[in-house]
Amino acid sequence: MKKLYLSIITLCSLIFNISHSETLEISITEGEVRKTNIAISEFYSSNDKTADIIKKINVVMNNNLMSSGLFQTFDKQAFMQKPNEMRFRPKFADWRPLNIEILVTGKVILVDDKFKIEMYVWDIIRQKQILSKRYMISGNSWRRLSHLMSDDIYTRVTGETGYFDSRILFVSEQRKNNHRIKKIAIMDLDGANIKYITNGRYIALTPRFSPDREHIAYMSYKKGIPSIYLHNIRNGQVKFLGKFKNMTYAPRFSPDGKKLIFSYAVSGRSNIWVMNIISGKFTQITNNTYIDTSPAYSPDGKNIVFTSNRNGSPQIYSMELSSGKVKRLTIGDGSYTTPVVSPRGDLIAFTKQSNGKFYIGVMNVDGTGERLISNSFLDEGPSFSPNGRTLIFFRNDIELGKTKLMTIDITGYNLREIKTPYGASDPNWSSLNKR
Amino acid sequence: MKKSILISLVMHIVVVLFFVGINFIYPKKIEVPPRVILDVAIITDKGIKAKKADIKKQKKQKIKAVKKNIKHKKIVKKKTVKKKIIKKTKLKLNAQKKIKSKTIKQTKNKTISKKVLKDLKPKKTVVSDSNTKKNTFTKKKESKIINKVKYSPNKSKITQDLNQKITKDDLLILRNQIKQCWKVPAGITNASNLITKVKVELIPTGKVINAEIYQTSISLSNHFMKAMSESALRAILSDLCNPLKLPKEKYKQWKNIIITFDPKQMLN
Repeated sequence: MKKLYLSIITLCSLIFNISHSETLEISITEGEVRKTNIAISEFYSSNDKTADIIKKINVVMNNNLMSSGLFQTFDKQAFMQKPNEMRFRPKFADWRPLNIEILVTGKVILVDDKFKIEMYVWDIIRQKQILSKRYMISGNSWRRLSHLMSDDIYTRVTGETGYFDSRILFVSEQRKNNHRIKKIAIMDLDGANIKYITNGRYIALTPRFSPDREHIAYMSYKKGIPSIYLHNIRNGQVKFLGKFKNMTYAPRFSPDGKKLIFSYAVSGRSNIWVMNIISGKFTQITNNTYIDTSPAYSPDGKNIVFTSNRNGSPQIYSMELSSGKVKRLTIGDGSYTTPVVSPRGDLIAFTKQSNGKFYIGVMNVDGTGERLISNSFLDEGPSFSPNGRTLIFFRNDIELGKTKLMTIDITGYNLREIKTPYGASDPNWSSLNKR
Repeated sequence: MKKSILISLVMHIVVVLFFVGINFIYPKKIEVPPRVILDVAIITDKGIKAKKADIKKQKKQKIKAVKKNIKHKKIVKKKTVKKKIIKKTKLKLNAQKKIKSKTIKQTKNKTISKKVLKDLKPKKTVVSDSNTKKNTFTKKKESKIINKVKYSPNKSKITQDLNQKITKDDLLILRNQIKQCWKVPAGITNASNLITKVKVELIPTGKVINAEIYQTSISLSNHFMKAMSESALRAILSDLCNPLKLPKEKYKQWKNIIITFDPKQMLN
């Protein structure tokens, strides 16, 4: 009986303790901004015919993730486990000494002439598979697949949309006998797969992707008169849109891809115009005696940003298209040009010239929070990555005597050069390809 | 004549039977060993109980979390044992007192005989004694007692600390440690309101044995939220954060922790 009483008392005290036990709560408001350690193992295959493609895919994926500035990749020589040992599941303990956080493994199976590829992404610390995906490709599309898989990893780990499966348009500047040949070229983000759109007989400038990345609009000085052309990437057809004798800035597409916006000078006054590609109709957006130039649409198509000297030096302004209301965004010293709005719609990137230097900067869409993220003798023409996280621009390298393409994170970190065979300028970053 | 011989015989038999029988009826007399003078011999009801409880608490901490039901059963058993021991010791102490009353009066200390100590030993009672080396105990038994004596004062401290609350300094150390383990995903640089609450279960060494997402500010179907909450889990399970720097004596208070990961400050 005594035992019974005691056990009842114990039970009651236990319940009392549980109900009254306070859980400690703390708040962490800061963390480290460091690269994620990722190991990309070569994929497993039982067929020797796949060995070459496996190596190529591995190299491209490593380069992609490393170039993003958010990942630290590792040499496969340091890996404790071989691909065949990880066919089903890796041994997590073997990866922790290397401080690996994310591990990528996979399998390649040859089915007729096609490759069936399975990719697995593992969280080493949580000891969990966080992504598994299957792809089917033909042998010649291994490069695109590498970019797609890199995007999938990037998105899964960072939460951001990947951008490796995007392309860069630029003007290739080749020197020949003191003569500069300017051609419009297209390449993968890693500098591979370069194709030339124009032949170099006429100067071609300011190429811009359409939002669906099917068309390219560019200016060409055929017969000395600036003209706009529309190039279809799929079939190579070129459409002439018109001659613009006094065009002061190259066209950019509207978000729906149906219109082009540009600045055009009539009797000494530069104003902003919109051209409907389908109907060929022109609409004047600004009408004043100042120089309004370099217009670009916001991602929702409701606003435009442009440069104007209406208050003295060139500054950036925004305009609500429905009301025509204009707002000045920059107030700093120097001149601000080439504004572009991020695909996210949260930032505006621009070129700033001040005290004999050029800067690439970003600011909020309301003009606040200006940050200059790069500077040199000549940095110009920023263009956002599809996820709005990185910028591409061109830099004039005086030592080398040529222009080159640079990418930089919007935070100002991870400045990198994209290698091109010749000089390169005026880059434009495409949207992501449709899957 | 014969009658008297018979009576004397009967009387002799009775006397013999009496002396033989008395050994069966009454237990043997206690053999009193040579006297041992102990400086401190606290064998009070309260003292034993308190020290017993202390030993148990320390054992509990060493073996992580011991189930309270089992503990209680042990306490009940040991309490009954204690009562028996106390009775025995009292009886035997009285016997000793009678024999060695003079020396006791002189030293004014309580004495414990070998027999008493032998009885106490297997039943794990605590006898604090600075002159234990002089005793005839075996070395093992001696060390056991010394250990118990050594632990007992700490235990009383621990019981006091258990009631103390975790200080701001404790939390600052913990925050700084977790801060170093948390790799904030790149996505959050432009995404606000991504708060994750992680429920963490720890063992007394400070090692995390379980961590799970307790609450998120928005749905986990959001890519940023997912990456954010996973980074929080990785932080708490990382080698850098295991064990967590927490005062061990206050384990009861940090056995379960809810950690809120809020990157808002980083955005500013």
